[in-house]
Amino acid sequence: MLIAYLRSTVRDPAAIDDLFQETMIVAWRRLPDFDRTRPFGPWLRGIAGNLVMAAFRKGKARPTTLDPEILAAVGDRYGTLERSSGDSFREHLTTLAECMSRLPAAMREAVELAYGRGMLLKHIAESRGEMEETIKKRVQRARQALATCLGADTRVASALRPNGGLSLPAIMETEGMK
Amino acid sequence: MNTEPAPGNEFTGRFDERFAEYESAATTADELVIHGLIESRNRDTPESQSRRVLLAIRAASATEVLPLRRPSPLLRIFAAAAALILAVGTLGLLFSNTTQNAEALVHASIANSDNVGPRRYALIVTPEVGQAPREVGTLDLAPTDRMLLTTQAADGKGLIVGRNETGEWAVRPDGAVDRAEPRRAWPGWLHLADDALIASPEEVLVVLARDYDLNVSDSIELNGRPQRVIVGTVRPMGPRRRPTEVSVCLDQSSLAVTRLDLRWSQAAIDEAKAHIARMGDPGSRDRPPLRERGPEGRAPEGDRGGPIGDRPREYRPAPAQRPDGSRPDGSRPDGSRPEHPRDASGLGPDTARRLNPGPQARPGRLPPPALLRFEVVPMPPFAPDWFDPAVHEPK
Repeated sequence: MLIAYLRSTVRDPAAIDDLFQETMIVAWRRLPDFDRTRPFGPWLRGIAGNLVMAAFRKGKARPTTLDPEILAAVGDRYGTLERSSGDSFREHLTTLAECMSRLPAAMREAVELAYGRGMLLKHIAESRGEMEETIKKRVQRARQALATCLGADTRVASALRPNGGLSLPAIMETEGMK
Repeated sequence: MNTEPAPGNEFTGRFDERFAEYESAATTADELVIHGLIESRNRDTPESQSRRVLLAIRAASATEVLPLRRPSPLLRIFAAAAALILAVGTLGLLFSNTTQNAEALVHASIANSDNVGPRRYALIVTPEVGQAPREVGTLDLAPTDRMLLTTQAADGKGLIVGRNETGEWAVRPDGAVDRAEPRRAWPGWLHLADDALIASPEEVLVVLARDYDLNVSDSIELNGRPQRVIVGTVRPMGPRRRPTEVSVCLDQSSLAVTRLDLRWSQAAIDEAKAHIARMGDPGSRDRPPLRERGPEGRAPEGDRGGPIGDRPREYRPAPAQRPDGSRPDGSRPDGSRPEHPRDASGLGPDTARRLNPGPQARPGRLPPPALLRFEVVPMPPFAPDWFDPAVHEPK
């Protein structure tokens, strides 16, 4: 899950492998300092977060955000994923794929084009004859819907439907699909 | 650092262009997590991740324990001195039993793994406590990360997976070589962690050093050679369904892994059985794809109203009919369904199959055994093309 955390917090894919390796090396050296009564994941992400900031100061990487509140919240959400009962990281990704398959078609298509194909939003907008801002908002809403579906947002997890499904009416209303 | 998008991959330098205006810290954090997971799903295969971890650990080991492949004479002298220090240090380790020294031994074994030559391990499984162990396959390893695993799938059919210079591969039951997603062919219980398979003792050592509490146990002898024994117990906070206890025998002189025992507790086995019964086989090759895709990766036109199950009933497409009037879902044109035949105990076919899979059951994942042992066995020299899938394709 460390690599996903780095992909969440670092903009430059080229810097991620270096940061991953540096994190492992630092963790390896500091292993004697690790308090074994505490979970390993947050400790490792703490090291990774410090290295991301150090790389940013040296101009070697650009973080997705410098807001400590957001960074802490990102770490918390990965912690929540780690603690969810019995699910491995690969199973979380499988769940994510299933959540994506349940998105409304327009949202799913926008996510697949933006992430799966790496298309720029303006190109997606041009190909669909829509405004770039509309596509941007659609991708954003899709991410939020996926977060809800995955239960990553602990604030709303309790409000999820019993089967953990999306609140489709709300999403469709937002998307003007009703 | 050049952060401009590479040709054909414009996304790499334009991360933030896909993010709309800031709403709140919590919402942004949610989005960033989903962004990271989607990216990881699209870019990080289990193979690449496993290799990344192994390389990182080797790099960490090499910087501290054993400088390798130093080109200059000065550095060679330094390397020789470091090797001497390592040897003296290792001798010291061999006579002490602390946790720190267990980690150092594992550390040194990983660092030294590049220097261990070709070897074969027998895979010996004890399905349940009290049952007799049986050999279920072999694992062949050779330098530069080449491997060949010959064992059986859950349905009892032969299973061959390997790794050579061109990447990982698997020979599917139909005889074709799968290079796209070879790890789907692996038995589920061979998945040690998200980022590691039990594809080599070194990969196990990486996970061992990371997720297990280690201790040096009493030395033993194997085939007349003294062995150091390290016992790892999975940390309580660690991921579930992995071996509860791992013990590794390291040859005292070469630090090569000579025996590897992975033990699962009965609770872990029961949990895995329950998970398989509940979830089916998430990694099976014959699992249907999540969604059909049209050209350009787009959902079919008729699918634009969202998932069919979420649409109002009147907007759902009617099931197609066969020439005889029946429908693919088994229903009659009037919407009724034929009653399934029941067995003697009154169970329908699906329930009966689930409770008693029998020989016709769909191949699936097996729960972990009570004990899985890898033990070095004598082997003839591997042929130069031994790790090439073409050699193992059915003729």
